Amino acid sequence: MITLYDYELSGNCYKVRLLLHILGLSYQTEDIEFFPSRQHKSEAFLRVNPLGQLPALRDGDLLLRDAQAILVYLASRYDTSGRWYPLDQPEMLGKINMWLAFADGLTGSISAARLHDLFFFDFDADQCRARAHQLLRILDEHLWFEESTGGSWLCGGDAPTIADLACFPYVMLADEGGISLIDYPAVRRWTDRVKRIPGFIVMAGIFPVAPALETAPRTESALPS
Amino acid sequence: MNLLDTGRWYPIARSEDAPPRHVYQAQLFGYEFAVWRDDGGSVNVWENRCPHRGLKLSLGINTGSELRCQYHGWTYASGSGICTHVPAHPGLAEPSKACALALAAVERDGFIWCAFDPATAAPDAAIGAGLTLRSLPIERDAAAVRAALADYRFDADGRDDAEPAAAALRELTPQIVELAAPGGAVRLVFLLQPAAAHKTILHAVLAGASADPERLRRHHAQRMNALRAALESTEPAVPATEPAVPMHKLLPVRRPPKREFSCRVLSRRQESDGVISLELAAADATPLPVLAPGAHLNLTTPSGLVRQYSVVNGPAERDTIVIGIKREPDSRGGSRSMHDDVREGTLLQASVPRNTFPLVPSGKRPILVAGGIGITPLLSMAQALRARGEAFELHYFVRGEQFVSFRERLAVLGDAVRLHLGLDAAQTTTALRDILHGRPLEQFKVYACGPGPMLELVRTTAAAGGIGADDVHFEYFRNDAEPAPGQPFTVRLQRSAREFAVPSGQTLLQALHEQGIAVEASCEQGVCGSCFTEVVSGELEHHDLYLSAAEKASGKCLMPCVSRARGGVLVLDL
Repeated sequence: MITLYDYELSGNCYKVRLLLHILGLSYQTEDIEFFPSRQHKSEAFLRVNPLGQLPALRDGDLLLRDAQAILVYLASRYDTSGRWYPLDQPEMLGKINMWLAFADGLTGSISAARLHDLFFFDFDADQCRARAHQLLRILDEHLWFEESTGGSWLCGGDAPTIADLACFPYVMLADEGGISLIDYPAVRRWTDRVKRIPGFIVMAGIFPVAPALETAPRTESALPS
Repeated sequence: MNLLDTGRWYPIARSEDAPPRHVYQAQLFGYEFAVWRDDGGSVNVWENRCPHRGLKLSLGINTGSELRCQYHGWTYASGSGICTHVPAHPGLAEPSKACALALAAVERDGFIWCAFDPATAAPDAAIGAGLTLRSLPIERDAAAVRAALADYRFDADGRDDAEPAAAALRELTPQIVELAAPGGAVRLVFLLQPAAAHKTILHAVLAGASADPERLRRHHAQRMNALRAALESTEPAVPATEPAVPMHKLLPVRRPPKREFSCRVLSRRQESDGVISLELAAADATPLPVLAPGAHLNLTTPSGLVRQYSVVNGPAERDTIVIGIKREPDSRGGSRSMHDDVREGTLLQASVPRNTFPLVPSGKRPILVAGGIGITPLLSMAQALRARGEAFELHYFVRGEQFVSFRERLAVLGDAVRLHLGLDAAQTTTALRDILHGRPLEQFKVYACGPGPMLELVRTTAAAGGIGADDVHFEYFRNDAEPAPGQPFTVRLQRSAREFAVPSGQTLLQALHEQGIAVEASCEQGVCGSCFTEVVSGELEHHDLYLSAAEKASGKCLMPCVSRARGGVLVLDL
């Protein structure tokens, strides 16, 4: 059984839950309270992850830290479609890892601003927000050009990858860090698409979206004739 | 400084910013808007604020016909902005007077334009067709951005390594600037959207260029980025400020949507034996009200009688209203007049009463049961459900093939439609049992419209099958119950300070009319809702089919055509 060391309000834990649900994997969680009791810095948890960061994941004898690394592992190990982390496509793997690093940048900016506003962390929130806007401008331009050539996802191709899941949570939680998405319309359209991935789940602050218009009418007839 | 002129049209978004089922978050003069397109293609520009608790509507859900706030689920209809659903009061047809605050909006040249004053003449600026370039928000006021455009250089073929020549600049309007490349064949049109005091969205359309679109877009994106970087590296001339005046103060007083209008018969069709349909268009330039499934019109027939007709419209049909009319053999003159006196071109007076038979969003699967001409509201519902991609069943009970109306609309609905032809009472009972029994009924909602005896059958069969009364919704044609003569009572009119007696055997409505009190009435059977009257106090005896159980229990209203007091004094707000 997979065990996720989890905190409900963490965007990085949420992205792992998201992939677990999309892949239909059963798992259990061990709740580590980040705030206010700071259990992630407790002696017990430091034995799981000496960096004292969430999430961490245990699968049999394997113990992993870092949300992005966990996504890579889960997709490589359990995704039978081979689309979330396509091991046979070097170009895609390069692009995916580029955006996984970008997701770390979102953690360092948006998540930091959110920790300042929500959990009173002593960060320079204005600097975090300025950095977040720099990253969001880059993300919006990238997604706008993807759309202009018929693409929907971060790494091109016709299916989402773990890069989309890695970047999605803190983009969606930007508002809680005092960062409005109003100037990033292509980013907002992309978040709608991520929310329509089968198996999508929400967390506090991330809401569902209406089904796409193209959905075929489900007018099956279950009636005696 | 960006200054708002309420009598002008401003671009607020590009057309592609409002794809189906999306809510675009827009900004103009520091005011925020939720811009969204319904499945019929119409665009709404609303204040980005739920009238209930103020949450941003751009966080909400675009269902294709309505916008639902994410906070408490209050739901507002496309077009009118009327609140159609409050989850805490699921049974109420008009759950709240709240209305989304809307700007006038039109789509032209690939942009969505809006005006604060709805009387503003249509926008005349012609942007023309061309290649859409990426719009760029710039953290500076429009005057600064406008000044910087004079130095914008580009290559007509999008070659990054070419040395671009100066372009000829022409100001079409204060917000639209055209740059023509040497030779004049390639024109770049810039449009400035004053998003806030310190923020401008720079839109651009490239006309006449023949190079690869991707290369052209990259070329201009890079140059517009450079223009932005240069602008934002200078000190801002205008400090970032919030708008001083709340948005609603800039808008004219919002009148409730027009409830009365005149319309013209555009076409008349024989739908089946004894049933015609009429397609009605507005007689003047005022837009027709948007009627949700289950809504009906009060129409004044040429004979002067007022009759109710459910609309048949699908969700995308906004320009006309379609109704179906059966010639009633025992007509009191209404349906006969509609059949005999109405031609193409006939003018009819219409009003929109509240929708007493709405589709209630519940997550439960609707089972629609129609008897005869009762198909009309259910057809409107079925088309809406199909457009939303929701599962449903439509059971149409009808005397025979020749009586099946609206065949083309039914054909589009495909397998979801089941025809039940020529069944007698016993066979109808069996058919309803097959439909309503032996299924996980807590997952279903029943909507039925048809003759009284059939609805009674639906009611008893549904109850026997375990469907809760809250999950069975009816629309009656007429009230078959014999009105009881009732007790005599005294009426006191609070506002006109009058008092009179109503004897047993006389209806309250008759007594009011006898006293010269004008109370609008139509069906006089407690069905249509026309004579709705507010009550101050009194012990009420309700005989109508119009008011909900909750409304009856409230003691605050009654239908005087059939309902009365159980003796004593009845105080009315008249």
